[in-house]
Amino acid sequence: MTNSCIIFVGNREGAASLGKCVRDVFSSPEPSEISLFIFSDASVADVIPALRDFLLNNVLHGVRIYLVRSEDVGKVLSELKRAVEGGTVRVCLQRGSDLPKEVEDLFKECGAEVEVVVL
Amino acid sequence: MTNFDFVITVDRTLMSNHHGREFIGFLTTSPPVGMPERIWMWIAAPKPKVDKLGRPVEAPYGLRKIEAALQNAGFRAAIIDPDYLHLHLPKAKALLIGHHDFFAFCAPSNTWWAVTKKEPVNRRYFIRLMESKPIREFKRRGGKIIVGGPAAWQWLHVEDLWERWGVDTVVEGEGEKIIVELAQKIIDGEPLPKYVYVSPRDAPTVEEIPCIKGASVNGLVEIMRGCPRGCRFCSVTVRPLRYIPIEKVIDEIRVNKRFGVSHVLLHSEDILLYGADGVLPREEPVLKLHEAIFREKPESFAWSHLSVASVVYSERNYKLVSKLSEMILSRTNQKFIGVQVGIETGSPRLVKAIMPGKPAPYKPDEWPDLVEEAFAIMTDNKIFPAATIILNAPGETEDDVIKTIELMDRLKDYPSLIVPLYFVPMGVLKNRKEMLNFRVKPVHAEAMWKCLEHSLRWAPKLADMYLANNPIMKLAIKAFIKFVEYKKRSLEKKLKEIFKKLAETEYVHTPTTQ
Repeated sequence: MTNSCIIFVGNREGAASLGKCVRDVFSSPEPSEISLFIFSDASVADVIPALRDFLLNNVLHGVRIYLVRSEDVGKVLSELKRAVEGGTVRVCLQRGSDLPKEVEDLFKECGAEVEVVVL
Repeated sequence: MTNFDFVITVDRTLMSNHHGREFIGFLTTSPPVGMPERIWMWIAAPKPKVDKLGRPVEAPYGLRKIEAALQNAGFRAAIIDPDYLHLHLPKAKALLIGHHDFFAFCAPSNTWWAVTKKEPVNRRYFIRLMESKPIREFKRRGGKIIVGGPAAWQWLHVEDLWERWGVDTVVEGEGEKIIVELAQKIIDGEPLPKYVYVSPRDAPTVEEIPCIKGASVNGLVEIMRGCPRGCRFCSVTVRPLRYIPIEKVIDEIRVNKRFGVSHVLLHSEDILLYGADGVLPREEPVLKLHEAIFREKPESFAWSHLSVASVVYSERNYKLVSKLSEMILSRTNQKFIGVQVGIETGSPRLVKAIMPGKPAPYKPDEWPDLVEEAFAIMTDNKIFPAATIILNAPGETEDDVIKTIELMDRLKDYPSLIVPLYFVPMGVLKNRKEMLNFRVKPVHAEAMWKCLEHSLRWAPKLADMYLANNPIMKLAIKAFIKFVEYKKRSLEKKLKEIFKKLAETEYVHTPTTQ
């Protein structure tokens, strides 16, 4: 069993496709905890409808969702590091968005293998 | 004045001891019927006794657990009555709210809401609490709000309110461990996760579940968590099964007694499964538990839930129900034992579909006979159940409901209340959002009518016993029963028309959009 860390970078319109980032992770019995970091100007009202079915359906995994504006990425680095070190990492980039520099540095520091998906 | 960094609260509908009668608390799941809201609330949820800081003498058990977990970890935390929030929120760092039905999506609130087409008072009071001045000001100055409890899933259906009220974190699952971590994040100024689902694997072990530090409402004490029956509509079955050791149960009973609460209300999804071998009740642990409790000399005693199959199995094999009843009635002054029991359906087909483990070790086909046998055993032993039936379960057919109605006919001579509940998508079925918006079908109306007839037949007698020591409440409740009887008589004449109208229109209850 491993942790699964998913990072989404994009705007509030892009948050509507969050479901695509998490679908197969939620349907897998493997991860003991799924950490989802959403770096976006999206609000709860944008994010939850895209994730609702997965969250309501979940009885297997521990889940933590962080919703963070891009200027606040630095504040969640320690939590992100914990999630990255524990297991698999997937980055979902909305077309035209970039992974924040601090996060890239963190990946290098941890030697994390990262799967990148462009939405 | 003492400052608390963590203020724990809930709205008035739960912050009450309901006049020392837990069952009266169920009135808060309904809108007021036949009287103004203030009088309804005085009957259902009077203000509790508080100390000079606004800390209630009795508070909901779940909040007591969170308070204990935080205090054990060294945080300044306290449960505060909702009327006293203005004294504490200006200096608090976080407000923690736990509820078992924030928005009245759960049964029976959803049922009364659908029947009356009016918002239940639990929803009204929770919304008023969140819109209240102390909480709005607290939020304006950057205070954190964390919500949780058995109804945390409801926030996933109201993301607009989640945002409007600035709720920082929704915690779903058992909170005793995670709340300590979140509290530390708040103290350290770290960002909070918006949503946390505590997986069954991360649930606290028996050793990690803290002992309450103040009295729980009506002396409620849990004896186990989780349930092995695996009913598909129930959220408890997804939790790991843990039996609370007798010493811990006794410690909590002593805490309650120290605060003047000498009633004991044992809580479990199925009391007779305490220390069981899977779904097979064992005599020894259940008797040992009760003997230890009665050495503490409680003034009165009740169980939260029994299950039909456990009643039948333990009586057939050990005469255990008779032994327990004899112990309870001979060592208190009470004349009966109250308990909640789930009938859910009279249809073996539906039993197989949604609760195949509920009749175990017996077979689903035996279900209607088991229910009647359990009711007979309970009646013989002066145990009077408030039973529930579920309407609109996934895959339910008209024939299933007719079988439930037929079963109720068989139960009519057993003293009990039978309450209809509209199915709520919880447990492994909780992704069925469409089930929140349900149709009231004519056959449901018939089943509800049957429940009303049954309950009105027995309610006056049960109220006499239940409220024997509280003449004012007895008067109020009996006046309410008379009013319902009067309404029923006036509706009886129009019954055919009502069913016809229902068949033509089929009212759709859509609570998430109201």
